[in-house]
Amino acid sequence: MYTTDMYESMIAETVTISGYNNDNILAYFARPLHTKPRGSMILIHHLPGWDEWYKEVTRKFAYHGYLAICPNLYHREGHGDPVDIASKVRSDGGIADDQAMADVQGSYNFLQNLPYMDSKVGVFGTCSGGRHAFLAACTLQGISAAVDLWGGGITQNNNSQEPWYSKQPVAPIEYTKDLSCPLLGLFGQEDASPSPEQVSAHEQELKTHGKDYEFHMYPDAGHGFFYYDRPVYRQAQAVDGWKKVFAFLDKTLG
Amino acid sequence: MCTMISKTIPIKGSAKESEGWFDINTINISYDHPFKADLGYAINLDIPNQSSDKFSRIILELSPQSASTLIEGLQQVLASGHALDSHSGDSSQKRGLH
Repeated sequence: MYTTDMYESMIAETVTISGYNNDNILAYFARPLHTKPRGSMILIHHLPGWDEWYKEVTRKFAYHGYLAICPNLYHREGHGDPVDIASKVRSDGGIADDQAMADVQGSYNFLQNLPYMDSKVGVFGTCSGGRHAFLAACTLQGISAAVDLWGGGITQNNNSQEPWYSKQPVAPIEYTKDLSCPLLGLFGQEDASPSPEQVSAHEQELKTHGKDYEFHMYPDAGHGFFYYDRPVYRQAQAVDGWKKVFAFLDKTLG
Repeated sequence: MCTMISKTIPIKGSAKESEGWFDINTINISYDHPFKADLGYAINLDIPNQSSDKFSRIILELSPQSASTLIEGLQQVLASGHALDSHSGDSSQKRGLH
């Protein structure tokens, strides 16, 4: 627990990692300097892109004692205002799951190569990043905890008639049997993607396969209720949600 | 991209941003979470400036009701325009406005 007499220090900076296809992509990396890291987190950004909110959250995890890295999954699209790049990505049907998972794997490899690395690794994501976090926990090796915040599109794959079908050809729910770590999910009851019905379907699948999970459905909250810079912000639910995130990581990563 | 509801449509025209006019040939439409608007979901219109290498684009985020209202308004104005064209013996096709 934090007390005001503690000395604190952290470093946060842009680094380069090797991702999908051995491409060099940028990532934002933060770590505490005053204490041994208690765990490591890979943050998978949302559809609005590699933006200020995700940089802040990366530092938030470092503040709480974690090595935290957030790769720019849209690096290959070019550089500019995050919203402009995100809008282009959305118009192109998002990014391919294989590419995203390889970039997450690259982030994992970056952490493993750090000379002071000695901790478990978790994944965290919101919106499309929540979907990616679940995919990572099911398809990558070495993940010890997964946090999916309102990840949409878990129960369905792309319409096969769409040109970008091949980017997300498998509904993540189909990988549930392969989930390799505890999962925390936070959702808003007023969200339509994922809707409460879709969350229930995912929960049923987790039960069927006997997985270790913890889902919370917040009333009076919709999609993105942690985003303090957007009208969808719900203060009480967000404060409680963050407590649940860190309690979950305390239990699963140490 | 949470809803997976999006479509790219070829169009023809011009758009203006702070740095001037640019030709447009596609519009991307999605029903998804907006970046800015106070809405859970919005009709998002993304009009890229494909002659620019700076990702310049015009983005509109409309409530679904506003999008419906806009469609109605466009149809009414189009109908009036077509009526004017047929009355004058001219057509939008002749002027290349298609």
